[in-house]
Amino acid sequence: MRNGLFHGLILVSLLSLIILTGGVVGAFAVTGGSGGDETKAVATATPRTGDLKIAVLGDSLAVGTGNAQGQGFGELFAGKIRRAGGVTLTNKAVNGLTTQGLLAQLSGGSLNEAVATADLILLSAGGNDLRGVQAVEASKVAETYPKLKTAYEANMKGIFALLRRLNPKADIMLLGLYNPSGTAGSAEEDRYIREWDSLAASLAAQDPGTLYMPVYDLFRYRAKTWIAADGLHPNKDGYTAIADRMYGSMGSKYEP
Amino acid sequence: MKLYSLIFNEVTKMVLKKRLYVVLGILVVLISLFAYGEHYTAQKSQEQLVKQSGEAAAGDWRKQTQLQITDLKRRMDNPFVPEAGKSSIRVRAEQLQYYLDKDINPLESTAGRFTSRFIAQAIALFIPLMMILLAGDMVSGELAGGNIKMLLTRPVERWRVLVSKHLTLLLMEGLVLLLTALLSVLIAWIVFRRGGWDAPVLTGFQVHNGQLDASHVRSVTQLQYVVMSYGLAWLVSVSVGALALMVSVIVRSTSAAIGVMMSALIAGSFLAFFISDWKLARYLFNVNLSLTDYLSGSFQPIDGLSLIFSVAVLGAWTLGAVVVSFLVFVYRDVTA
Repeated sequence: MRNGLFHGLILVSLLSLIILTGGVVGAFAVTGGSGGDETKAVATATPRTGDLKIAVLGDSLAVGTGNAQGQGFGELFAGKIRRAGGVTLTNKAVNGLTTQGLLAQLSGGSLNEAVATADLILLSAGGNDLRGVQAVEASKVAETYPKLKTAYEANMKGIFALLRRLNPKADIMLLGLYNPSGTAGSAEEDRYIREWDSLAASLAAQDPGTLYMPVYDLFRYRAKTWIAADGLHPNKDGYTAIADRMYGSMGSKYEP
Repeated sequence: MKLYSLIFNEVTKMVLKKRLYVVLGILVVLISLFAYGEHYTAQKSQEQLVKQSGEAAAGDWRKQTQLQITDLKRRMDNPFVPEAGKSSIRVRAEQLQYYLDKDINPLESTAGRFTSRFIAQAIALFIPLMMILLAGDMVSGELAGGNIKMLLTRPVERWRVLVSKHLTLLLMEGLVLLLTALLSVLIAWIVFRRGGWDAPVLTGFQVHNGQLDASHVRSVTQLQYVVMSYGLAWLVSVSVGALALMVSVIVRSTSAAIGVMMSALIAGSFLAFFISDWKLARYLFNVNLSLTDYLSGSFQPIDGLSLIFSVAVLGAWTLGAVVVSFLVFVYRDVTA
């Protein structure tokens, strides 16, 4: 009787071993633990410590207008990153570019290579769209503004869709807007800028790989010291402040 | 046949020495505690929800779940969501849809979910401990008790004795895991009253370039997931068991053997902290025990670490342990 029990026990154990082996096989199958996959992972792992490719797109802020040395936030940010493989920066920004213009640039294909190979895309756009408000008569502003806003939103969605089609993996950083007059300008204008800025933030939030970088607060009380003589663009200190903030939030990601 | 009777003899000893019963007793107590904890937490979060959103809203979990599904589906259509993220969103929507179809509140646990969660918790420390309890006295117990002389004066080669011990351990490990699974299913069913065995579970995470790659994520049924988890727990058991048996061969006292293995296990949970910086640490057996994390994708992605790596490390240690145990056992002088 007792012997029978022990024989049974051994049999049950053997059975459980068969089930467990099945489980192991299944586990390897779902985690893709085959040898081939593993070598692929190791082979593609090398560029991680290699050089970092940054693409800078957008308007005069990305160009660096207002800085006597001609460096925009992209160049200053890249200069801060300490990395064995170095940083390669491609600046495709254009003075006065609107979101409409950037969209045209993107769909025209002239940015394809820069975007597709980039690890990080720095984007500044929208400020010039908003300047369209200043171009119209004061009485027409209330009527024009919503149209501009709708167009801006549609353009930005298109820009993100195109960027993601070209490069689904890269990190994108979208620069926010600021009021070049600081606290001195008209309340109405300030309201538009704030609204526009929060729209930019919510557009960026729709793409998980995108980080929105606010700068409104930086220039709010520092318009006198950080805005260049043209009264519109940041000066060297202003750009450095933006780059510092970018480095503070993203720098550690790119420094191995 | 000679080997089978040796194994039979070992199994008899294992059962009669009541060590197996101790292991089972601990299992019952721990699984019950864990099930109660899970039940209690679910109740608490339900109460929290009622407090936050009112009786009516919280009671209507179906509506909530439907909302979540709609939301997930909308996110799937969003062109800004990268392809890689879509598969995991799809599986999450599938999961919620399943709960809705089967009329299960996703906040409440099921026997299936509990069984896989239990093994995921137990695989790194508790299951190995059970194996150490089983294996720790297989040889040292005989040395200490003097049985070894009886055993070795039989007309059986020494290596055969050790082979039978290794094989018996292999069988017992399978048995203990089977019983663990059965006990957790049974206890969880008593507590939760729901099976949920065909619920979809998220798995298939891979690591590429040191980053978690969710693009191959897919759903398997809860049952498949449980079998896979226990399969991996078995690999861990075999490895830890072989090491414990080796220590048991080398060390003369059972308590010392168990102590050595236990400290090695606990050291592993500390050493795991250094694994991303200290490359050598990843070749230790005791930091590679949480194999189920590779299934659930709940691990810190580190370049070069994968299921196959961890299993290879465990395999190497197992092989080493078996070789050492044979060398020591066959060539040692038995003076006890």
